[in-house]
Order: sequence, then structure tokens, then C-alpha cells
Amino acid sequence: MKITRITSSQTGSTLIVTMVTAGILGAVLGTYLSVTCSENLKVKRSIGWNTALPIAEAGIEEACSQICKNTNAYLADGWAVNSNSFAYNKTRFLGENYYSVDINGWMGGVAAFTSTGYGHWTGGSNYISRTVQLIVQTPTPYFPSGLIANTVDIQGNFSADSFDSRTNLYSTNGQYDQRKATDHALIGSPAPSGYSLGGSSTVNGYVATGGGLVTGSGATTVGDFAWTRRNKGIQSGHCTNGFTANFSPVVAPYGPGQKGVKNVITGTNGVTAYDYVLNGGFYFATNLLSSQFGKKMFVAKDSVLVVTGAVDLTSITFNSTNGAKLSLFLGYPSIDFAAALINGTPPQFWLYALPTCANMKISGGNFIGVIYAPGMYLDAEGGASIQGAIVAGTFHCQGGFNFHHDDATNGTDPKPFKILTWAEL
Amino acid sequence: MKSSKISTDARPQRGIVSPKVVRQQGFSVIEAMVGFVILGITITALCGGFSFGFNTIKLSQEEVRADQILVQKLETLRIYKWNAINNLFIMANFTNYYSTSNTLHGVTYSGTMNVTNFPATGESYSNTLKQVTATVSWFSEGKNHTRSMSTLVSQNGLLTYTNSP
Repeated sequence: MKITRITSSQTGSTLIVTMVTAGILGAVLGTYLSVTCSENLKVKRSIGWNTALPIAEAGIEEACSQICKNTNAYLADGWAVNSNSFAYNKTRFLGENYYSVDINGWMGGVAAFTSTGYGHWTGGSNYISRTVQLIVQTPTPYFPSGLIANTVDIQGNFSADSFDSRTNLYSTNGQYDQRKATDHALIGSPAPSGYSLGGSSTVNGYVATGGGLVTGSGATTVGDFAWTRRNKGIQSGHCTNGFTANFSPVVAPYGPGQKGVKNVITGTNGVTAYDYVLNGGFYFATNLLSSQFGKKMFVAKDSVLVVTGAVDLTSITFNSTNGAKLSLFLGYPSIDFAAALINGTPPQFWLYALPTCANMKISGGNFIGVIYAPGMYLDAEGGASIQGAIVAGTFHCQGGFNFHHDDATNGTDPKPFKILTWAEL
Repeated sequence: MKSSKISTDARPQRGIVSPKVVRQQGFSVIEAMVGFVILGITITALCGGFSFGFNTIKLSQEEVRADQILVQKLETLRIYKWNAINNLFIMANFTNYYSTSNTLHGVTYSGTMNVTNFPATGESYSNTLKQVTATVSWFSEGKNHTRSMSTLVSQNGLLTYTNSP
């Protein structure tokens, strides 16, 4: 006889084994689904990552358009100043993705475009970002090709000719030299009414209007050297009446108190003390009235200076070793500018008149640079001379005034927009 | 026969001491049935889960490939000259495959390139920008799937870098 005993452990074994098996299978399934979920999330992240690049580049593209269109007004078209990074900023959505692009720099110099593209994905932060940066050469905003004003009112002994500060063939160490002067100065007005050349005006070059006539007194002569030395009147081919020019108003690149903007301070160039020393970058001043060191300024490196108040300078000295440039924005309503410009050539000094700067007077002295003041009344008198180029709303001169146009400031030496480097950060 | 026997007789037999025979025998059947049901549900869930997982991974891979195609198409724009973009020289339709390395291409992607004017909000430079949207669609697992990606191209943008002498 055999006794078979079913123990309690044998009794529940099938169910337990099944449940354990089910549990193991469930765990396997759970793990698999978890891995699958994780994999899927990584794929979504990858898709967001991929999407972020064309989006970031879209921001770069818009910045390029902004720079090339609004060469003098980076704040135009709804761009904002980011006071934290001192940059012009634009944020734009393209579908569910977006970019934020910064322009950090100024016109006629070098700027950095930094664009961050945000690709949408379903993970934690919802967006994944990538950043692309371009270093570009920004276009020179204007190419004044001579003395251009909407209203030209020339009286007295006016003389105009040209030179080229880039070569000693047509200049001496970048300065005007009468012995090397050339004869293609331009006195132009886009106004349809024309203008008159009074007194004993001599224009070694060309005159142009937007439609009217250029008239002159008996002693006026316009033409090349061979003509002006022997003849009166306007040489054939040296007057046009289809002249057009459209200059944008000046916009201040920044205001006071913004991050990255420095105040002008006293200093030296190692030898001489100056009331203001610009060591490169962005500066702001409410006025330039200090006289502690003789009302003098020294430009050590490329600088931008915005001045809202009165200006009283006797000289601006440029660093002779590095060709430092100064972009000076003036906002005071009426300015008498008589500073002597030392060591500089015209392309190194650009004077911008903000819309609030309505009048400027240059009495005597030799201004070397470019005056860009499309809404301003510019008065030159007292034997003054200007080497460079002029854009003004109204230009008036009387007494003796000499204008020497520098070819280096016009379109013969353009600085077009150019991408220098491109990298993903 | 030496194997054990399960008796259906409730009465105790001579020489066999088994006071819990009735309960033990019945529970065993129920136990097996419950186990079978649990196992069936588990295996069904397992199959369903694996199937779902495989499909998800497959679709993910297809989406990644779709994304690669879209990025490739949009990045290619950077070497086009403005005239090509502005005058719609870009091929409006294209076909691509999941795999291009063998004769079995796998999923077929049908794509479109759509060049439109910049969605301007009053910007003066809007005529120097174009919005390009690349879209691919494919059929997989009984469904149509679509992905698209957009970017901007400027007349003065990266193309001036890539096309510069």
C-alpha cells in the first residue's frame, strides 16, 4: 500500500508558480515599455534638437536682413534693446518653435549675431535649444559721395575739390594736399528746385540736382581742372538734374545707463592728459564741457560716443598707431563745433547728428571726417574747411569755405555686409 | 502502476490516510484554471505590449529619418543663391526613403518644399526674406504620418557666405 500525501505547499504551487511567472513577465513587459518610453522620449528630444538648428539659423537670417536694410537703425522694425546683454533683440515664433536673436555691435564695424533656436519637444522643459553665432562686418551705413544737402545755399568764396586719403598719390599721409588734389568733388541736392552757386564759387568736379538748374554768378566755374582754371560757367557733362539721394534719419544706438555703456573719464595716452579718453567700446555722456585738461579728447581704440548735451572741445586726437575710429552721436539742439582733429583721416571720424540736433556751426578750422546730419542746418563760415564728406538737410556757407571730398568715404571703398565666421556654440 | 492516484471516492479507504482529499482535489482544478487565465492575460498583455513597443520604436525610427530628410533639405538651402529661392527653382516635390543603402528602401517618404513670403508683421525688410517649409509624409502601420519643418532664408544671409568667392 502506498500512501500519497499532498502537502500544503504542493497544493498552492500551480497558482503561485503562475503568479510568479506572470509577475516576471509583467516586470519584463514593464521594463520593456519603460525602455521603449525612454527611447521614444530620446527620439522626440532628437527631433527637437534637429529642429532647433534651422530655427536658430532663421534668426540669423532675419538679423542679416535687419543689418542690411536698416544700416543705421538697428532698433527699427520692432527690434528691442536687451539691456542685459546690450544687444538688439528679436524673438519670433515659427509654428511651435521659436528663436531669439541678438545683434551686438554697431554700424560700419564688426557685430556678433547670436541666435538661439528653440525646438519643441514633449520632455521636461518642452523646448530644447541650440545656438549659432555669426561674426559679421556690418555695412557702412552711408556713402556720402560729396557734399549732399536737400537745400544748398552757397555764398562767398566757395571752393571744392577731392582727394583720396588712402594713397599718397592723392594725399600726403592721408591728409589733403592741394598739389595732389583731384577734380571729382560732387555738390548735390536731391531737391527738384535746384540751387545757385553764389560769389566766386569754384567746383572742381560736378554739380547735381533733383530736377532744377544749378545757376551761378559770373565768377562761378564748375568742371575739371583744365576747365576751372581757364573758364567760367559749368563745363559740359559736369551738371546733372536727375540726382536722387535718400538718407535715413539718425537713431541713437543706445541710451544712458544701459549695460555695457561706459561713461567718459579723464586719462592720458601715456604722455598727455586728456579730459576724455576713449579706450574702445560704447560711451555715453550728458555733455562734453570739461576744461580741466584743455577740453581735449583722445581716441585710443574704436569707440562710439553718444552725447545728449552741449559739446565744447578744442581737439580730438586719434591714436596714430592703430587707426582708431570714432562714431560721435550728438543730440544737443545747437552745436558750435570747432575741435581740431589730430592724426585722423576722414574715414576715422563720423559725426552723426540726432534729429534733436538741428543746427551746427563750423567756424574756421579744418574739420576732418564725415558729417551725417540729414535733418540738420549746417553752417560753415569764417574760412572753415572740411575734408571728408557731408550729408545735411541744409548746407549754408559764407565767407571763405573749402570742401575737400575724400574718396575714401564714398562708395568707391564700400564696406558691405560680410560674414566673417559662423559657428555653433 | 506506481504513480500516485487521485481518488474520486470521498470515503476513506483502508490504509490511506488522507483527511483533506476532497478540498485538495477541487482546489487544484480551480487553481489551474485561475493560473491559466492569469497566464493568458499576461501573455496577451505581453504580446500587446511588445507589439506596441515595436511599433513605437519603428515609428520613432521613421520619424528620426523624416527629420534627417527635413534638416537635409533645409540646410541645402544655405548654398542656394537668392535667385534660385526667390524664383522657385527649388524642386517642389521630392521622394526619399528610409534606407538608401540597399535595394530594400523601406518606408517611402513623399516630400514637398514650399517657399512663401516672410510672414511679415510690418518689417521693412520682409521682401528680403522667404519662409521655406519642408514637409514629408509617409504611410506606416496603417496610418499616414506627416512631419514638417520651417526656416527663413535671407537675401543677405548665409547664402552670401557660402556663395562668396
